[in-house]
Amino acid sequence: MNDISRQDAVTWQQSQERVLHYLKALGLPPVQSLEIVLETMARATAHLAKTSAKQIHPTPVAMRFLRQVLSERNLSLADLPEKQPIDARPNNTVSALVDPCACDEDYRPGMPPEYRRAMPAMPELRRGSMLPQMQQSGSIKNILVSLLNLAVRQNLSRNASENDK
Amino acid sequence: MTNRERYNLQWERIAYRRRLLLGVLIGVTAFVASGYMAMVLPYRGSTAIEVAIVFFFALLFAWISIGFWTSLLGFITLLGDQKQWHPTRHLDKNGSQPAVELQPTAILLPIYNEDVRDVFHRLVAIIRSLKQTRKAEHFHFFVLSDTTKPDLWVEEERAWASACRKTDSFGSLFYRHRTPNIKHKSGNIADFCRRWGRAYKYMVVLDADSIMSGQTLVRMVQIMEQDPSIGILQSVPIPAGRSSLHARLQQFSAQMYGPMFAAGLHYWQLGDAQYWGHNVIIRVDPFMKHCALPRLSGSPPLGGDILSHDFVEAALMRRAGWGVWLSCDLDGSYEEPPPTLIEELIRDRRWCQGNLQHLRLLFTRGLFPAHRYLFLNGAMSYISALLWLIFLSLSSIEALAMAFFEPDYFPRTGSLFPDWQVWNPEWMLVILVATVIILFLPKVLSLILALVIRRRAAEFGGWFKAVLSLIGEVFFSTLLAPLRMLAHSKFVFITLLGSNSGWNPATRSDQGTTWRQAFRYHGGGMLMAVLWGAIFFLMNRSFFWWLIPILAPLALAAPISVWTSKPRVGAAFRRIGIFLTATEVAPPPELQLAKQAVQSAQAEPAMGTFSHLRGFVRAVVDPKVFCLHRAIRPRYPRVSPKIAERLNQLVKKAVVDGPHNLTDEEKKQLLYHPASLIKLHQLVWELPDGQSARQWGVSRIG
Repeated sequence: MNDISRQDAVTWQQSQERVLHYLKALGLPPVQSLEIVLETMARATAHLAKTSAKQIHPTPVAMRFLRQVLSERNLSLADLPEKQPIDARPNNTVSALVDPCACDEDYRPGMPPEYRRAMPAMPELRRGSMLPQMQQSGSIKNILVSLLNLAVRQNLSRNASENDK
Repeated sequence: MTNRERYNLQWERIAYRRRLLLGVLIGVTAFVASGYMAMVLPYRGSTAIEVAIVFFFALLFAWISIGFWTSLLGFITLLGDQKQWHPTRHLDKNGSQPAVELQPTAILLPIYNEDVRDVFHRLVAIIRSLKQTRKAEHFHFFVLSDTTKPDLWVEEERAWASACRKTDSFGSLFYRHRTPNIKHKSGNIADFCRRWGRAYKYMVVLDADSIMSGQTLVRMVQIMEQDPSIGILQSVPIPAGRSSLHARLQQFSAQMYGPMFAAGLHYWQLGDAQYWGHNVIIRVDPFMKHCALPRLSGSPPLGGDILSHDFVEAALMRRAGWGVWLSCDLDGSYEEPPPTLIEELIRDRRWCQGNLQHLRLLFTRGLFPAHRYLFLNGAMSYISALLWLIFLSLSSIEALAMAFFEPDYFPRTGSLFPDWQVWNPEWMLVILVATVIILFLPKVLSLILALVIRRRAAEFGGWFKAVLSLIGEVFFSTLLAPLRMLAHSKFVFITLLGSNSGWNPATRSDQGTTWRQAFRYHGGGMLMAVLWGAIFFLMNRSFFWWLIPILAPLALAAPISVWTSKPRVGAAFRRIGIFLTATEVAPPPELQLAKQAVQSAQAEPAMGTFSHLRGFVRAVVDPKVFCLHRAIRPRYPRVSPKIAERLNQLVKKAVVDGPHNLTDEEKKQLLYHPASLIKLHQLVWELPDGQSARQWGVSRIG
């Protein structure tokens, strides 16, 4: 109790609910969620007890430890109960999304290999070229001007032939 | 000479004769009618203004004659039921060709800021219909998104994943979001061709509102396999699925008159047909080689990207020696019509600009005359409205001149004899009757074809209701024609003045037009009609009565627009059995599947902790949607330190100010860069309970 006497009990309650809220969003089974919550809150409490900083809101601390716990447990969405609706294909790991290093190309320990394979939203590329070949003959104005020039030339040549006669 | 060239030569000779016949018929009709018009005029076409009136009348009469003769030829063709040049002749009596091995075919669905739910419900219906044919393994579906709104983008990804689960289509239903929207729809399809085109022999292009049955898709591939000369095979999409009166009118007229008109088009076009941009199958290899579109010189509206790309691609395909055929007897192809008059006109604005652009391609080297004609025909679809308006204006000026000035009995100088103005009402009556026949006889013939010859009365609610529906359709089309005329005239005028329409997404919902929208859109035309009518009511009352069929609908444009847009008005007509169609009386299986998909989605409860969140916010907050979005993004782009810093600032802004203070562009930046999105996701979940947390939806308090 002394360890958390510096913290507002209400804020700790909010942190715990935040962690539970996140685990519910993941759709983990209740027993597993509770285990993770207990472990997360224990680590957060211990961390804040060690540090001498005061007035630290426990929620960010709890969420960081939650990410750590999830990453250690290597949780996969395939662990979810079948009837739960999922928005992603099985084999995408949850831990990867909470691990900031997962955005790198490099593999990190704890990240299952199947995550590195992207979901088949698109098939393998089979590149080809598609280059315009159409030749434009000119604007309407140019065409009209050429027709006019043609008419003038024809008229001139007709006049010239008449003069010759 | 190759087999393809030999085959092309055969039908080209026949097409040439048929087109010559059509040209003669149109020419003679217009010549005779304009001769009568000249005789009707006071000075019998000898003054400058009367020459102009006769000229415009000749053009307009020729224009409406095209439709008349095409329909008549279609009627005669359907009476004979000949299929010599129909692409479907390759199919057996059951309408299939089981011996033909299907080749890999991509079905493309380009979308742009569409209603996500409706698009994917239709897509699910098409996939299920295709799976019923047991040939679905030869087809891959591609949703090609050009969506610019970040919230819709995320919803599309969710809908894609949901569609894959519902239809077990992971690995055959794909989703691609294109970041730069280069060259609109044609660029979207070209992007697909450049990335995956070589993997497929054919591609079927759909619109966001298209539905095609699985059987039709299989048949189209079989036809392409049987006839290697075909480059593009266009089906005739039937408008269906809407409930407003305006849409039901279009659905009825397309299903009643469409088959005859399509048969007529096929008669004289043969392998030089049009491509309408959707519900079509294309041979990929020649399309990639020959149909890439350039950008026109100059700036929009007549330069820049080619908006109406379909006609140009067809012309280019034909130039390369491949046939473009219209399959007028292949069913199972549907689309949704615009629900309101204003939506139709907004679409027409874009089409008008695109078709006027085609005039710049009229003299492109190598194009076949038929396609040059189609370019001209497309432009005339809108220019004819302006010609009509000019004709009415000139007639009005003539009528005003008659009212204000004394007749000139010696219009020609040096003449000893007076030129009496003789009014011949019987000739005017002849012109009127001829015009009525030209405009309405095809509709009567369609009715006879549908009810008597093909015995399809039940599809239209029975004989009596079919006839009533036809009369009703004639009435409403007469009412709407002046409104379209004025709008199209305005489109041509402002396009030539340099106004660019852009490419705005269509509104495909049945919400109806509000009075405010109607008055904003039609107010100017209404005022003009009232003034025009008032002038002639006072100055030349006999001419005023001739103008009534034009001016009355224009003056009542707003009420007509609002009333015809209401779904309940359409439903009321449906209850009394008017404008019924086959797709309403006995919906085909694919339309039923689409309806079932909608109903089952509505019946499903919203699942998930964050079901109340949508779009960008859900992608940030909901770990599953976040994971989905990250997994779909193909590669993590490396960014420069400057951009990384800017993204960091953006993340901080998002956390502090909340999602509602982000612009669409800022949201898209965060969605493009997974590293920033991860950071945002973590920071949002770390927010202490308070207003910021509530804005993001992570707080469970308050």
